[in-house]
Amino acid sequence: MLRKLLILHKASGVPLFKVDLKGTVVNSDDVLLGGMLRALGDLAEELKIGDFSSFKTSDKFFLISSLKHILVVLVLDREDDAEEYKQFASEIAWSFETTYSLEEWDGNVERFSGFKDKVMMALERLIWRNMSEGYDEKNLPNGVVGYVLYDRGNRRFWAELKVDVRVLELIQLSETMPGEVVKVNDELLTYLFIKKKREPFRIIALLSKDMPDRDVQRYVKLFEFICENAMKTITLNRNLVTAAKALFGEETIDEFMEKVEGKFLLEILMGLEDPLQTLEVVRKMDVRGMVSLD
Amino acid sequence: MREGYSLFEKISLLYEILKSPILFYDKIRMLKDIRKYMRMLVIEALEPALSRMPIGKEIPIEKLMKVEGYVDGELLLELLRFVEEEGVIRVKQGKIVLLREAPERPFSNMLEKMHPKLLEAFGTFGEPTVKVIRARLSGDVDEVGSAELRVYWSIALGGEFYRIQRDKAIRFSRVKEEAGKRAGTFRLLDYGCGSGEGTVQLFNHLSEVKDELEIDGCDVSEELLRMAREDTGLGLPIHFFSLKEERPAEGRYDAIFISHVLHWLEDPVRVVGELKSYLKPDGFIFGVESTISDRLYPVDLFIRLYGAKGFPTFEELQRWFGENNMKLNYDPVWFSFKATQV
Repeated sequence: MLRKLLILHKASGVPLFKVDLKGTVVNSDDVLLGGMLRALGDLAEELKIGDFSSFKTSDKFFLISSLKHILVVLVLDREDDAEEYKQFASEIAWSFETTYSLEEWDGNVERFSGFKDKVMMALERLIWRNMSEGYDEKNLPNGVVGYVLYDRGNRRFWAELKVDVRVLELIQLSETMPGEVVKVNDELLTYLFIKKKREPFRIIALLSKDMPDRDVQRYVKLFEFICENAMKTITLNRNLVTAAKALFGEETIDEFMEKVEGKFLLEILMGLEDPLQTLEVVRKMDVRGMVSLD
Repeated sequence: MREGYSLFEKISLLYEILKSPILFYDKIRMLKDIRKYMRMLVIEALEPALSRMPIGKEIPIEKLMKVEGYVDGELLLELLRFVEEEGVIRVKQGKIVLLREAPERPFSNMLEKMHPKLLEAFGTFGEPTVKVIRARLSGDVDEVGSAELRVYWSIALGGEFYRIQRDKAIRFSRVKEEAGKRAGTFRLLDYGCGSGEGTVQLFNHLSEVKDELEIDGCDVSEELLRMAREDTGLGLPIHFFSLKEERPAEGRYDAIFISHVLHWLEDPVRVVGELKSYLKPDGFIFGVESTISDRLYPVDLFIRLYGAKGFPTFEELQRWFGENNMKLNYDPVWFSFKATQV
């Protein structure tokens, strides 16, 4: 895991900019680190533009990316894989050099403080990108273009968005929006931003713009239900099995008992081919007190 | 048919039969099936007691009650008549004779042959009704949880059996024509809306003829209202509210719909009076209310087992409205009614 990001002036070894988990304060450790790097056999000078270097200490792993005027140093955990972070380090380096002219740097580091926003965006992309890979695509009901369920607290995706949109920008937008349910339309789509107080799970859903309002509201309820109960397991009330079969069909309830009961709602979302349809049945059963969620 | 039908009512009755003979025939079949449904349920409920009786030996009913721990003799007599109808027992002068062995699980075995609309509406009530019969006879607190009952009723009310009756009431009352004709917003209240099946049906009908529409649904059960809000009526512009928290506004409504509610109430005259107060001066009440008859007696017993007061006679129904200065029009085929202010 990335612990610290440091941008050093290549010629002088002066720390220009730093981000760690707690902020951007430049402290003496980073000055020492700059000195240490210079001392390592003039590493900074030897590295060509676009090159990477790395070394390990007892508990840390240092990855260094070089451009014309700067070195970007990532301080990682010892066991981290450098390959995962190289693209990120390059991206930061290029972004810094193209944002600030360093040909005639006057020694003032204050001017670089605005770079924090760019770093944070890139960091978000790095963290979320790693988490979002590897989930199978699911069948979506008519009118649902895509959706993403994520755990904001642990920065983890639980369902893949099926459309080519900038997911992180949508997530950031969602976090700035007031209210638990926000509906936004553009020319093509209706966006639903669902977040529940005290719940880390959030959903951003993209619906066809011509979906009838009644159906949109049904999806709002379904997505709220998923956010509220993501980590709960589902049990069918045995006294109401006959009623459930009468209402939803024998086949549906048999399938429910086989594939859904006793599982976390998230497992269902990840494991079934048509999770939204199944979860809508679960929601309707919950409305009728036919299931318990614990 | 009861005495004293007006010429208009007789013509209406004939018209209803001629207009939809298949539906009418269907209804007669369903009522026949309901009788059989109740017979089988009663036999299944009494099966433990019947199985302990020797065939051909007269047993005083009092003794049966003592042995089985029954406390409600009146109900037992009602139930035994159903068993007698099936030819399993004979009841005479306070004594009961078992004529043949009672069939095993007769209700479960008849389900396949039951009218599909009846099965859809009441199929799920089988097991709970057996429990309720046994509990009532023993004087126990109802064994079937109210949460379960709510689900069973919502399934029943969502089925064709009740949907057809509501459709007939909508037609009988000419509420669509009234909505189309009246200026401004047409306001309707579904009183005792339950899980909202009827409210949505009303909305669908009225929104065909009127854009300026406000439909409210109210009930005392929060759980049924949740079903209405979060599923049945979800996404529709219907305001569902709890009668425990909010009273309908006086003089607000053009029409109030009340279906299969009055026969559950302790004091229907008072409630009709309250409903009248929610109406505009030219507003009316309409809905479905069965009146007791031989054919409907098994249904009457069924609802009483679950706590209803029982179907009124036509005269009682007329009185409930008459004492509130309302004139009742009634369709005895589909039990639709419309009450207007005098």
